[in-house]
Amino acid sequence: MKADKTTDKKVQEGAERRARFSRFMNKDAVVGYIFALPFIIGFLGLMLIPMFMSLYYSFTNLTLGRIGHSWVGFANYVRMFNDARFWNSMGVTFRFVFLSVPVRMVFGLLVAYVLTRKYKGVHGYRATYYLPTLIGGSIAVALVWGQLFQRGGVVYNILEMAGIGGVHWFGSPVLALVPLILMNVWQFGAAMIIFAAGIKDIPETYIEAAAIDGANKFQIFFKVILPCLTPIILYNLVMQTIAAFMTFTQAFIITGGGPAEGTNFIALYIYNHAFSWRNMGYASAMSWILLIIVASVTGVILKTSKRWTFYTNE
Amino acid sequence: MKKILKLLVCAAIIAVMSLGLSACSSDDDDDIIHLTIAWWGSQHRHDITQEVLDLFNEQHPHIVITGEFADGTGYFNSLDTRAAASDVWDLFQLGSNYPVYIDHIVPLNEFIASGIIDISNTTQDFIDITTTHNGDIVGISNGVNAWGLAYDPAMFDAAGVPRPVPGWTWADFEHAAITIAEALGHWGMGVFTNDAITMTQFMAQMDVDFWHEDPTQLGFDDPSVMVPYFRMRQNLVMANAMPDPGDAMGITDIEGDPLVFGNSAMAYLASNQFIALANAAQALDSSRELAMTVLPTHPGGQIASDIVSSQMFSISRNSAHPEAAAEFLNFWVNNVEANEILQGERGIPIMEHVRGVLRPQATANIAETYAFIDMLGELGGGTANVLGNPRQAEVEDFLNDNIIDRLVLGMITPEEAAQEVFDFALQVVSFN
Repeated sequence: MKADKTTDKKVQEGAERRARFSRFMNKDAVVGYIFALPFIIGFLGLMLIPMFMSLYYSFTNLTLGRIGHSWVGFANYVRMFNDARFWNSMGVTFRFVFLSVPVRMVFGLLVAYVLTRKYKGVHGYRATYYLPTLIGGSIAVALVWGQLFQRGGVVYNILEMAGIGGVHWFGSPVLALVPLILMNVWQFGAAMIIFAAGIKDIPETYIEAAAIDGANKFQIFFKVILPCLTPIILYNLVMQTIAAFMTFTQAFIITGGGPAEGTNFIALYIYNHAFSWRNMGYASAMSWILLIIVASVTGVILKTSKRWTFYTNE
Repeated sequence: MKKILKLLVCAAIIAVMSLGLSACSSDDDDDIIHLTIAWWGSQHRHDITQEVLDLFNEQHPHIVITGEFADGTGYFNSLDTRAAASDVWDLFQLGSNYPVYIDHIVPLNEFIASGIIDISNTTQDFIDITTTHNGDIVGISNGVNAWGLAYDPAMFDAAGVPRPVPGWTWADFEHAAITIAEALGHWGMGVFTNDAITMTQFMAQMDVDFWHEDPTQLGFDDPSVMVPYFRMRQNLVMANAMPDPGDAMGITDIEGDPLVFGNSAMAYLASNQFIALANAAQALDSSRELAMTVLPTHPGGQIASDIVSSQMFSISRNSAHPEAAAEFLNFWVNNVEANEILQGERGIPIMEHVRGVLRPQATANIAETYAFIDMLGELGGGTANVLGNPRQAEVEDFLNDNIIDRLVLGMITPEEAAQEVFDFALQVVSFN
């Protein structure tokens, strides 16, 4: 009998423990955290911790392949001010951003506008125009792009046949930027999709009202659609600007940063310092400066946006 | 919920078990030594190296060696990551950039002294080419090569230029390249894959070293020694006798060299690359016959180029079994059967008895590389351990991708180029 009682008690205790555990597991917060755990691990392990480690390394002379490193204070940051190659890379990157982002946005907007008209097969067209963006970041496309613009490539030959004369794109540090900008513009799909969603969101009544008042297609586009789209334009502008600052693949694969460093984007220069020349400390310092610059540019865009964005619900 | 918990528990058990198993396996097979080895190279190299590893495993049941391979860039990325974590493969391939990894290399002196590695079939000169100035033997050369020029004799004849002979000068070379370009309408010379190497040799022929044994110094203090090289380089591109930066960009490997396609008359290469180059050219046009010659020199200057180690395997400091690794090294350089598989793909073997077996088996293109090395030997070209610097890659990149481009595009003069390279190199080595 006695033994039975203790077993009963044990069973009861066990059941209670299980109940407590299941109550704990069923709390909203716990469920939430468990579902978010894969992201939290990734965020900490792949983002936050490495970020702070790179901040620490930017104050050291960490060199890949060498054992140990020592604290050098602000030496890496001071080095940047005297590094002509760093300033050249910054200049090239800014030129690329200021030239490629507006062209890409205009392109994305126009194509989105055309593809939101109602006619047969518009979905097929939209998918087709999005395709370059899906495959655009890949090494293979960069290789093909390089071949197109090389001397003897398709673009070179077409220009020659048209009587303009073959342009030796990669023979000059100024011209070499053009194929890279065009490649970036060609991948307008992401911007296009967001613009298309924005255009579809504009109430049909606005456009009808404008049409009744006698506005033509151009007036409708510039006076109705464009102002209503400004919040979307702002979003795209910020995202595209950040992405353009980080451009790497094209330069890495097609030009290797050349000729004469005319396409040596800052991301490529940082990569080379980190992995080709093993100056991890210096590369970390440059990454942080890049982060500050991108954040400032984004900040300026957001600050000025109040003057040119228009929200329909305001 | 319960099911999920059960799954989690199962997963945890599996994880623990697999850990336990791997722990057990290393406990149980105490007498079996596991080694790892890594190298870079072409698919052909991977295949033949793997064959040699299999042969070694067959003959040495107490050692299991497994290989890992990649292309050059991937290999060094992987090596750098491993070096940062002190988790380098037991045996790893290195070229003349070994000073970068010197912290991770076990010197072979003791294994040679104890007889694990037998070097009785080679000369001290061949051992010295992989020895640091501290007397540490950092590896046994996988083979030797030397820089030289491959050329198409038929093109020289067609342009009416005398074929290169040993002792020809840089002026002869410049004249030949420009004359061929004018006469045949294509380049006279292809690319110098790395101008830093070519220029270092150009300077060495004047008895000037670019690098210094002390990594914080340069081997020279007058930038003007570089000016003649830069002037020649500028002349060649401006006369359309060499590709400009845009065209050079498209030439990425030896099989893609313009000489292969008949678009230039000369190519700059390491002697072991001649085999791939000549094979590629003959695959397109079987009537092509290419030849190798020594680099030009200065009038009355030093001999063209030295015989150097093309690459080697080093043993890493974090290896748990350096002796077994040394045993493999001995097999790798001395075993005749293994070297018959390799056929000197990494360079001409340094062991006399191995060369004795391989040489009669050589095809015409391979025989040309033997003849080239012999020619250098007869000319009195010594063997050399090329001086390097841990920050060499950064200076080389500046020279190749900035200075040379601006120079040949006419953006700077040869004098300005020399001064900029000197200032940059001096600044970079000061970080050592």
